[in-house]
Amino acid sequence: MFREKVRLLNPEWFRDPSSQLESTLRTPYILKFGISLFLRRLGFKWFASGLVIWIISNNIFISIILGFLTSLIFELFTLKKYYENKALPKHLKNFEQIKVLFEESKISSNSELIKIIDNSVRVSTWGLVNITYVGVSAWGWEIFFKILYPFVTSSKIHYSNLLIGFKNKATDSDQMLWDVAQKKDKENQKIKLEEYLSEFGSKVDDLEISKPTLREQPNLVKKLLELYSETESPAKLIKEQQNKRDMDIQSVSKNLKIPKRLFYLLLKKVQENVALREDRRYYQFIADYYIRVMLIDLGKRLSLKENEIFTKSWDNIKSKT
Amino acid sequence: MKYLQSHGIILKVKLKNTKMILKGTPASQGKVKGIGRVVISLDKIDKFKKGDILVTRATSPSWTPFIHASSGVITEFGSSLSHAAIISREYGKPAVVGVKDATELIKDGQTIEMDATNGVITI
Repeated sequence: MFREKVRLLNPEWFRDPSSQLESTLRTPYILKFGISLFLRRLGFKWFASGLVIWIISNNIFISIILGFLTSLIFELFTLKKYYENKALPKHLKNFEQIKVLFEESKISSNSELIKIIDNSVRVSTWGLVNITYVGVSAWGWEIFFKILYPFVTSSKIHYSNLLIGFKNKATDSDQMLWDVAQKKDKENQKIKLEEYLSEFGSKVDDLEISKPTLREQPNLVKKLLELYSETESPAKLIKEQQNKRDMDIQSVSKNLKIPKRLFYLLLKKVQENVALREDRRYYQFIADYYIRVMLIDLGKRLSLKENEIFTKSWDNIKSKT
Repeated sequence: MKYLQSHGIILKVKLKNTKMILKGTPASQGKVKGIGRVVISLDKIDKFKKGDILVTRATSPSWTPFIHASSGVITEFGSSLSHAAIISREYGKPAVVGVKDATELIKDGQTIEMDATNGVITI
């Protein structure tokens, strides 16, 4: 039910029913950190600004709506800094801790492994929730720009043309994979592929722990290499889009309804925030591969069939050890 | 091919020049005609070839190389700010998102025309 409701907000996730393990292991942490984040980042600001507006206007409806909008605007200006200075560094530090725990898990007892998995899921979910929330800023600025655009320029050029051609973790990943696919020497290609998978192998298709990460799907990796051996470089396409963007910006700047300086200031702010979108998606699931390998190892130790562990509840698994 | 019933007799009629129009949200501008490759999940992407039009429910970061290798993208879910839309724009591929039941209405291997600027797909 929780997933169905969230799917309304983000239809790209939760495309299939949730596994027992996802529902009982990660989802409770998502809820816990989600509520805590909401109160910490938005709730108190909403309440405080709403209260001030209520005192001034004496209208509860207006104070709720304006209070919410005020706190959202505040978030638009502060979230990027929160992401860069707090959420991401903490998430990456936690990720390093998970990698250490992952190595320790290989020689740990079953009960220790349970604790390691629980701890890894807890800290990685903190990052998942906090980094996901930064989307408010990334998408918020784009929506804000989209609404303002007709008042900013009379140009017929689509607003999104001014926001393309930026390198991000998704395009970096594609470029690295493309470079691997171009290697003629198979031994060298194998080494480079391992480097690629170490960095980008935790990519997932959904917020669902039962689904394999890219690194666990050798056939998919092989298909990607085949495909990329015959395509042009992603960096070349990005460069073309960047040139297109620069030309479109020049063209739009000739048809402005606001001062040029203000336009460039607004555009810079939007571009900076929009660039966070795809980077976030990379960092959100960075620990999934390690957590899945530990879970599969635990399943083997408990004599469960392949992938059977994902059909059990976390309490059920803990009771078996 | 259509099946029509007339006076208890079932007639198999081949209708020529009948086209189905699907509509969605324009996500990345452009026009393209090509082979629609319906892919529900990445473990079933074997048949996908460079230049195919990717037809799926929604995409995630694992799909970006396929968007890059495609000539266009159609998804059932998402908006102009969804992953498929953003990456398609980055790679300059036409994309239409939020096309209801696209993976059922478009048959794998079917030739389709996309007018992504107006969000129209002709089968």
